[in-house]
Amino acid sequence: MRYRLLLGDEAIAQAALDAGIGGAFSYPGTPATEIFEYIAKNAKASSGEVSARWSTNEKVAYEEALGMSWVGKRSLVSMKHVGLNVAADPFINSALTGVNAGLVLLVADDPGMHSSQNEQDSRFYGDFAQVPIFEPGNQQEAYDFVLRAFELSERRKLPVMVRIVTRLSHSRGNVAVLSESELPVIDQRDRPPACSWTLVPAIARSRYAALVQEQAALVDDALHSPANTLHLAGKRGVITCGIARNYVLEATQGNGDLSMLHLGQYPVPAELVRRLVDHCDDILVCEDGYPLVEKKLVGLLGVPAKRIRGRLSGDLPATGELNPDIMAAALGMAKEAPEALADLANRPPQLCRGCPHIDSFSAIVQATQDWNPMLFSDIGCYTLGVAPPYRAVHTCVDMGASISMALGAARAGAWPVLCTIGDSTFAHSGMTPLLAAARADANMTVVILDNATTAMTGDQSSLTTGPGLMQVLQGMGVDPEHIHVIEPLHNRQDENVAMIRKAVEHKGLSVVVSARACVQSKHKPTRIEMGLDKAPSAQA
Amino acid sequence: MKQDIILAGVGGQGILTIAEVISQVALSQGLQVKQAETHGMSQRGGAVQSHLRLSDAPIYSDLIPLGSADLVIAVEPLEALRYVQYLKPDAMLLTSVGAFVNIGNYPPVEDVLARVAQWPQHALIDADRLARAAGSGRSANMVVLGAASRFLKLDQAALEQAMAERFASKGERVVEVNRRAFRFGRTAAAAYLLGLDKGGTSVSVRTWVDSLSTEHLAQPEPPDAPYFEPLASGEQLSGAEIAAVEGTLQNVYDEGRKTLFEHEVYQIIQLVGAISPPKHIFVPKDELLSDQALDSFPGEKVVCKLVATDVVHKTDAKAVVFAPKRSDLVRGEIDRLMQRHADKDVRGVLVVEFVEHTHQVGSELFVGIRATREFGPVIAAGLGGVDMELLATRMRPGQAVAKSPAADLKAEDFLEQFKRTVAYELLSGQARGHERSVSDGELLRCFRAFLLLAQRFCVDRGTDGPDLAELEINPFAFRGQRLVPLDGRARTAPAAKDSAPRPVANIAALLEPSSIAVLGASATSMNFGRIILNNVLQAGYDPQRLYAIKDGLRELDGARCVASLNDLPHVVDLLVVAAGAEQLPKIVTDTIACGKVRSAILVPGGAGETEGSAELAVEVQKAIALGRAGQAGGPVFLGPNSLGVLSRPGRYDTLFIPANRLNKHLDQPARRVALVSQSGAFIVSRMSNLDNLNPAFALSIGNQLDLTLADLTAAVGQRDDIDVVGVYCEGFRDLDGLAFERALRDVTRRGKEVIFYKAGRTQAGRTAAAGHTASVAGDYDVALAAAEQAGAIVVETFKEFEQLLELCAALHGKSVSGTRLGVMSNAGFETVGMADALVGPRYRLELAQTGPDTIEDLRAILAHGGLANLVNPRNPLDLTPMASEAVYQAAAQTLLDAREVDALVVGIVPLTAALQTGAEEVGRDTALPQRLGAIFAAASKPVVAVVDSGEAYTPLVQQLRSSGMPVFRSADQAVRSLGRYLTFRANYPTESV
Repeated sequence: MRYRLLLGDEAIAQAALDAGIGGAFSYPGTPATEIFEYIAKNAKASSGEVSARWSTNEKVAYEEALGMSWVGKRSLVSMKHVGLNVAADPFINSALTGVNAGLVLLVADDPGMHSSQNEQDSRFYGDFAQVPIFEPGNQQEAYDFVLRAFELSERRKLPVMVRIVTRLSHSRGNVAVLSESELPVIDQRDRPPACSWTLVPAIARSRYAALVQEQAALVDDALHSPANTLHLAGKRGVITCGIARNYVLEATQGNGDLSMLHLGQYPVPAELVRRLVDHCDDILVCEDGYPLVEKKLVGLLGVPAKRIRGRLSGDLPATGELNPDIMAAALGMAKEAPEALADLANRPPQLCRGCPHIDSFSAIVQATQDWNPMLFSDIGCYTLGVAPPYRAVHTCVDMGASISMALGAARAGAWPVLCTIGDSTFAHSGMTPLLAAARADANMTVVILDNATTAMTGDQSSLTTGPGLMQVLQGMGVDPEHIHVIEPLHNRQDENVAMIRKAVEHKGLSVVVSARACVQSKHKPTRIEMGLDKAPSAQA
Repeated sequence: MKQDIILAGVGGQGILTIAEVISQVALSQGLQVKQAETHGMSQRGGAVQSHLRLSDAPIYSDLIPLGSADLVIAVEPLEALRYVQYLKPDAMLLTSVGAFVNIGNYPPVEDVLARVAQWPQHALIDADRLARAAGSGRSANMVVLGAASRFLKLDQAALEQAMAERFASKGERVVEVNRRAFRFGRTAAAAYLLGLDKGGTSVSVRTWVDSLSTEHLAQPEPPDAPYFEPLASGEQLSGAEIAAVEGTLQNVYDEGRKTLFEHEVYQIIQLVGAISPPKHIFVPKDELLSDQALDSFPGEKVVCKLVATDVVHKTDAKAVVFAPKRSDLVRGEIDRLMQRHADKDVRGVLVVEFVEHTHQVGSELFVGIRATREFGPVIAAGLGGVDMELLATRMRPGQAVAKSPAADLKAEDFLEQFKRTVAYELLSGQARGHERSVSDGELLRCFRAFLLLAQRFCVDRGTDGPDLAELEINPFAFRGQRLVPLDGRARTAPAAKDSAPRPVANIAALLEPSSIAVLGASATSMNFGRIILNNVLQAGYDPQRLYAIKDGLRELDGARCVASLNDLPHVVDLLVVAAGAEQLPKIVTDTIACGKVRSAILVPGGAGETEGSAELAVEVQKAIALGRAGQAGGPVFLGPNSLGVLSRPGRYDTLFIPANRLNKHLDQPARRVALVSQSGAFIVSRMSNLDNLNPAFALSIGNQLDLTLADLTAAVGQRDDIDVVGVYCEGFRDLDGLAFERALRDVTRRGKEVIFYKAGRTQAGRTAAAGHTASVAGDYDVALAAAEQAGAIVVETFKEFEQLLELCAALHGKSVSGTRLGVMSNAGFETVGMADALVGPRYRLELAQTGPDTIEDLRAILAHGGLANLVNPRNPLDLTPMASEAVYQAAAQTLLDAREVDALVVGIVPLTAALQTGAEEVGRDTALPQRLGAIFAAASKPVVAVVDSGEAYTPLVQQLRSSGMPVFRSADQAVRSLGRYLTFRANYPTESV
């Protein structure tokens, strides 16, 4: 065993490597990005022993992982919470097919929405899919629980979810990792029996019945898991889930006479909860996310003669990330602290100096200033275009929604309809709606902001950029006459404006590729590599 | 061991690197670590923070609870303040002073730092500067880490090692730069804390730390701090303010511009905390003004101003429009503005809050600074607006606009100067129909900031960045006694450089040479050289110590000849060069090379002052510079185009004026007067007019290719045998105006008087001056203001120059305790005329109100002289033509002795039979010259005489002057000059007497 200083994300990645995975699958998304990146940088990835390539999107990633499991190799699929919405279909169904080699789904939630459009709690997905969930509370548990999750996945032949939150993802801590000699030996696995994963109704019915039947065993696993601990002391009790335990302990510093149930593995073992509730009068349920356990505990009718407090009761904030100060307040242990300085000038995030999006937005805004355009947009750095001085983003909903929503608006007869989407987001979920728009020749303009990278999450490779992107567009049936390439530069503003106007004024689908590499990128393609030598503006 | 740390900065500044290095060391020391970071979207140019917790016991939370952190490590001061709610009361707040300005409403830098400095435990370091000193501006975060190592409970060597390992893959140089950065930061932090311990304020201590050399900073501990005098805040710009302004200037430079845009000017004055500009937003050409931004403007209207590199006078160019505060209207106006000026290099539009004001005279103020060639930084303030420009041309210097060299100026002194302007009279509500529109405190704050900017940026900054040529806010309007800038402009241009230092100690050898050599005297004709040789001898110079550089002769007019400079038997104090101008470069080179000359006078003209001779001047200058480069001292050169030097203490005279043209009275003792003049003819004309001036020194300085006006003024002014210096100046060499001002200050502080005439008053005068002595005449007003503030008596006519020179020379020993004048004459028009002249430009006298004792004494004198019924016993005393010499004498003595009288003017109309005023009478003991002469000699107060009559009475005048008494040829002129003199003496009490 040796100690290392690892981010929560890195501890998970290291555990997956130590668990002997054959592949890691993911699409970039804060706060999960660093899991895949850690694995991809590992020697095992460069040697080919572990497959690690970014997937097109989370659904693809999950299915790739499932395929790898089927052939008998362990796999890790990691994503941010909203990525699981995209991958929900294979995830829910894989609980019915089951897995062959261990499959661990790592999902990183973002309570407080540091870098996301919502703060959904993935434990509800796990509960819904009826698979085991681990919820590590610190970096060491992140490492330990992933090893445990692979073992459980193979034992119960089910995918296992590991749920973490941003704070753990992006916090470093000491982690005791196994040395080479201590690594588990993984049995060679055969392919599963033919047809057993074929979810036609007849087979699916029996698989689902088996899954429901397995639940009792899963609860029993949780009951006896060292991840779940019960400590009975005073009449005041707390239930902590995952990282929430840290905040409670920080507030109490081990003092006080609290009874404490900590949950790190699900399904919730009812017996442990009952023992705590029997012992205590007042129970504070602390969950960094939605109130899953509190809801189950209170149910519709509540617990007679007991005070159950938490996010539902209003004793903890209904939304947002927990922290030691919230806990201290709820437990009546708040300390004095200096007042924050209220009058400091804010420094909101902003597009970098020289960012190509600035020039793209300037051109779009100028080109459409005489009209009342609908500007649908998407997920990426360019979402910052919502702020002044650009105000060039009217919507941001989910990956790819810009094109689909624009298509909907165009079908409603609205004009002018524009949407902005990044090259990587386009690959993720923009191609399917564009295919529909091309077939319908919808009266709308798609502006693809091709900066040749996935910028916001830290410069990951993009699958549809440069000439490759052009081929995709043409292959989808977009009329080449109405595919334009502009180079978003200050001194090209006039021609870019003219080009966008021309595209918008065309009755039918037009696509403008606004191509210039991200200024932060460490591997910027040349203008030629971005296909700009063929752009009309370059010839002018 | 437990330590909770908050790291703060802006995305991209490298705080995570700091956190990682600390964490690694903690891990290697067996500690528990938690380090929470910000990733993702919030990193993009936004505020970023990291919670870092170290402990030898398990750590529960990744987040630090409120009120628990021990240390803030910040790379940016505004960010340092964002997390104070996390701090323990005794936590250390460490931050770099460098402001990262990527938001429009960044507060004044020093305000931010002052808030940091209010925290009980804090340390400020200039990480950006130290990083550059260490070798790379990108190491600023490692400077901060080094500083933090003072406060971390971790092994310092291990920290440095961990840091080095982190950079190892980037090569040895990068490692070394970061090591230096780390050590500089560590020492700078210790120095800052030491300075605070020694009683310094944050600003004064930072100034001291900024002054430490890299050798100091590389030591493990700082040098001992001085004990800090309590320093008024804002006596100079702090390093942080300098860096912030530098950033703005550099940005302009990087964009290839010389002219700053209005909002950049506002940013500069705001960063140094001078004035809060009105609300404004710069909307770049291709961006849109958002509704939200527009809503943030107060009031109902906004002003849209075109921002273009080629439009300076925006109003004239119709580049300013007003619009109601409605986004569609404002955007429309912006579009129209852009379209109207589509042919210009438009960069965008500045949208500014509308400030109510009128253009009426007195409702606008301008304040500006600029870099001048002669005086370096200069500040000016006066009434703003177009009308004022016209009015200003009709006013005397100093009335419309206060203007002064800024290098040594304090804001308080400039405010005093400004208070003497019409502008202040109007702004302070002293003028009729005006209310006070701005407080003195606000003016002072504004002047101070402008002065500090001028002193730091309107100077040659070498490679530190572009120099600020000019920055002006014109106009300021007023709102609630506060200044609100309505327009501003600034530009950069290289400032004048100081010339290389000269071995000025050798000027002593020039003034009193113990040996002289003359080069260029002809053996066959009376050329300039020969005249000079003879003049030196006639002045009484010892021929034994005089050499002529002359091959083939043993002796010339009694002086020993040597073949060449190299043949001089010893080092001579002075070499007079009277050869042709074209030979000068070679002679200068030889003079330096021979090593046998301490000083030299270069007589020839045609080396710079005439058309086509500029190249020759450059050659001479090069020769001097080249020769000086090799050695510490070397000769100093006076001239070229120097008419020469007359030195009574040195018993020599090289003025090449034949004796029959000017009687220099070399037989008479020197008076304690020196003349320093850029024109030799000016000197000899004064000497011709004032034939008893007998100056100790007359120095014709010529083209100042080496020694300058300032050098020589300082040199004679320091001498114990000089009380009065008369200076005639046409133009200064680069920055010599400033040196001259400093020299003047030094001389006047010694209780001496300097009379200063500056040529080049009008544009035509400036052209004439340039034609004459090759000095590009500079800003006349600035020169006058500078000289006046330095304590010189500034005169505007040659007559005034002479008269004040005479007064100063004659009255230096008298004491002046006030400006109350006693006046007597035997002609009524004179007493009336003198009373009429009591008040004039730059002076104010009053008639002494004599007491009853004096009146009684006068009555008795008049009665005794038989004038009881003719003359009123009062001041002014009209004695009538009947008055005799005895009455004159007694009345003069009585008035002079009166307590109420500070100085006496005695008018003598000699056309009366009652007085002995004829040429043959004036020498008699009973004549007035002897009687008044005795009074003058014994008097402790100034006495002057007036003889307003024709040539026939010149003997009377000469006889009067021979007693040392100043004599004027017109009564009103006497009062005017005496008025200047007395006012000056009363305002600048001298220590001597």
